[in-house]
Amino acid sequence: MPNAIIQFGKSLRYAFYFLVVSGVMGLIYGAFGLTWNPLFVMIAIVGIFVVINFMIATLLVIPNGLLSLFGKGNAVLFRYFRHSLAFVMVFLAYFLFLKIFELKVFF
Amino acid sequence: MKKDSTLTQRIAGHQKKWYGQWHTWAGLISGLILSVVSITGTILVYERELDAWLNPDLFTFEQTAQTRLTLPQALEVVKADHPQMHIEVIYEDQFRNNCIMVAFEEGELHKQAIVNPFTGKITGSRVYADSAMGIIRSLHRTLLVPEIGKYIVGIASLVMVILMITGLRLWIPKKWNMLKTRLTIKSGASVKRQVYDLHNTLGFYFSPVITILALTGAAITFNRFLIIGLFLVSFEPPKSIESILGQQSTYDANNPIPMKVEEVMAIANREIEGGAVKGITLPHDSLGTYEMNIIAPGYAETGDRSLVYYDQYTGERLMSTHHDLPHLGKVYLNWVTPLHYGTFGGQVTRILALITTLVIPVLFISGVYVWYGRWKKSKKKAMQKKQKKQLDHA
Repeated sequence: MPNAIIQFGKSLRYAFYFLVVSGVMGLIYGAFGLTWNPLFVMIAIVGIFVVINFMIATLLVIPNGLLSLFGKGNAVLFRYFRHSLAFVMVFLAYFLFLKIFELKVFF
Repeated sequence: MKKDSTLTQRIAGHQKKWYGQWHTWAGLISGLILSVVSITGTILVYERELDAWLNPDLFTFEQTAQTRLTLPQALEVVKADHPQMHIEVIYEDQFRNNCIMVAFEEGELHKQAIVNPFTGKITGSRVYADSAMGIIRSLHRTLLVPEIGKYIVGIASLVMVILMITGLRLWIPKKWNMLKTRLTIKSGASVKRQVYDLHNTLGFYFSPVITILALTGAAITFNRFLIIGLFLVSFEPPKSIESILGQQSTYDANNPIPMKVEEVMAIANREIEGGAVKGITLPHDSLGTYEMNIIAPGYAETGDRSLVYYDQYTGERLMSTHHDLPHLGKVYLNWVTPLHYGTFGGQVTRILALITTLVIPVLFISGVYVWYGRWKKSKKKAMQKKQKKQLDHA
């Protein structure tokens, strides 16, 4: 299997860990207030920052991609974009889940 | 198998080294700002109660009537007593001895007047930013630096999140049988070791709440980005804050008389099941709208908040955050501030938020102590190495 796919798989795994840890943090804080909703709230808030981060990564990777055509691209920026893409995919899946099942958990 | 585990250990070692450097430098650079923000945050958890306690002349009300005045009744008394007052907002404040607050414009100043909820008489007015709690609030939000101060605080909050992520990674023991040492402070050990353990254990136990306070703080600072982001992830076209809040009434020259506040409030009270109006923003001119702040029972103790805008002449609903915005918008309206202040779960979560804000400066001081010890040691080592090299050379 190409190395890029293996690395992307790892990024997806990290993103999933972040999603779970965000939810657990919300759940712990919420437990003190006898409500479980902060679980969903925290994943949503982290998700928004992940989306904003992805936009920044995209803005950076476009000129970097053009520069790489002339052999002047930066590998770190590609790695950053790969992580950002994996994170946004995992968190968008969560938002899609909320949308499809019409979960009203933020009242 | 052996090769795999060696590679994993090598990656883990590399990761720890980098995370360690990020954690140290991010902590040293932003620690002082975060400590100031945290200590002021400790006071602000009980901001409104403390404000009432510090100003007894403004917030002590003798119960002269059986029932409290409604917002329209109080507004009528205030308007009759102060016909020149340009009132913008009127709302109930349950945390300041259940008073009624009025926000008004006086020249270029935005002032607030405190209204006795039984008589409707004003007990005093002030510019809140100049009061003791107002100054603490400004220090917390902007470090008293105009314009860029709030962004410095917002970025420091995001750095706090990075500190938590890197800190948790560094906290993970090399072997799981070392877990106990990461969860407790070793009694009888040297001061250096005890401070290190204190940093580790406090950081771990409080990491969920610290991370949430930091993230919600950043969300409050960068609220515009958050709201646009909420639209994006709702898979709906984004709307600007102006398009949401910039509703206008339709002025009709044949019917130029606005509806009374109590009439619009009656409509608003029926708008959302179980909801009640807790605050009203009055139309600022002939095209302005009535904005009703409605609180209905919700999952959080602070309730489910909705903002509804009405045409001032017809009482027609122009926009409602409850009906017209995606459900994800409720993340901002119902949860961000209550999570940040700890009010979502009553006194228990408020006290937890208060303790957490005290833990942050402790983490900073203990972190600096640990770093300074290591820095001194590494300097000493480098000096010895240099001396040895010089001796060898000689």
